Amino acid sequence: MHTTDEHLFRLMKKGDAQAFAALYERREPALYRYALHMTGSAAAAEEVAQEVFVQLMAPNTRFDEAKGSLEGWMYGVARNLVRVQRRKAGAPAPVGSDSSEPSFDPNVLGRMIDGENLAALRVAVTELPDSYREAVVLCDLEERNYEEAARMMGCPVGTIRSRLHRARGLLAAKLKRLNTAAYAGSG
Amino acid sequence: MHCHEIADRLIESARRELDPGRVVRAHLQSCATCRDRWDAEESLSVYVKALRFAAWEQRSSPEVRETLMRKFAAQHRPVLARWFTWSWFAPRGYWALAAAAVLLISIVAVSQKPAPRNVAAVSEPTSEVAAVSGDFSGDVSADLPVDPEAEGFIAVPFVPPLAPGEMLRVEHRELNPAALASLGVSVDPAWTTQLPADVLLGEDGMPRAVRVSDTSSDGSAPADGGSF
Repeated sequence: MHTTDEHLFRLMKKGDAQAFAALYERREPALYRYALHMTGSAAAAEEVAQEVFVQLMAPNTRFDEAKGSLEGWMYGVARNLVRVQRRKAGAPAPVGSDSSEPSFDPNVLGRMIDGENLAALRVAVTELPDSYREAVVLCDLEERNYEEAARMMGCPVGTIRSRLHRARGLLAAKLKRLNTAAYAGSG
Repeated sequence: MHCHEIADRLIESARRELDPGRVVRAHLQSCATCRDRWDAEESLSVYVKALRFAAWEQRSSPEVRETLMRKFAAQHRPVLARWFTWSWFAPRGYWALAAAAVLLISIVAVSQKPAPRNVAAVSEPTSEVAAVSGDFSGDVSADLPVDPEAEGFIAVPFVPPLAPGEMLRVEHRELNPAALASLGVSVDPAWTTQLPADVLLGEDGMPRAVRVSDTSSDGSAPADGGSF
């Protein structure tokens, strides 16, 4: 039987370490990836993901089941932490520019496409305006449907959809410019 | 069908890797702008997918999980157990406690250490001693005796004890036999001339010990400073 996040949270608050571990295993990877895509930094992503759980276990956690899901609350905390991280970092650093950052996995699909374009896309995502970037991260990179993303971002479904479409337009244009420049350079 | 009407369908089809449908395909054949957009969206979808796959296995290091689990365990430990947690004995805490203990012991030891008592303390000062002490105005020496008694000094009777840490000084001067007698030095009643003496004074100016010097300024015989 699938235990809800909220049930695990209640158990966790009573001191159940297994419930806390289960919640961590269930939600940490997506939170980490979300922060990674949003900040473009593995170190920042780790810090954000950790801090979400620190706040979750704090005695004065402000999560209220009546106001929304635990997942939504966790993403809300992560969003705020990402904003803090981005303010701290100033301009976003391109992913992969730091040797400590994880390199792109040479998976099958990765080998099929141009690594330079992929790196350019990663940078382009981090350079999008916050609301556009969040739509791309949640809908395209995390494969959330529009309803889930809208709940997490606290806005109407139509808004998410239009933000995503505009963001994709910007990203597509950047990739096209990059390809055109590369083609002109090689020619 | 107009371009703006199919834009959404293009994007959603590209995102989901679906066929855009017969109507859209027909439009793409006749509209270069929409065809370009479709190509760009398809291409973007491939890169987005690659980016998603690249990040899929990434997550925080195992140390983060361990740290959080330790924090959780510490938070939910019974209150009494938290007081006696092992962290009290962790290296940093241990050394801090040891340093604090050493400091405390040092402070106590220093505060309880008796002040150097070079001169035997006696009870009440006599009026004669007080009178004599007021007369001192001779040369002051910085050569304080290490052990006054061993160096021939005789403790002045009936003077208050030295305060802890009180400094002493030596004054050289000529004293008449009566003054010497008041300081506890046995003198020959026949003596009339003044005798050279070293007087050990406390910070309050009170004499604490006296020693008759070997020579006097007028060359008279020394007093017997050895007996008291």
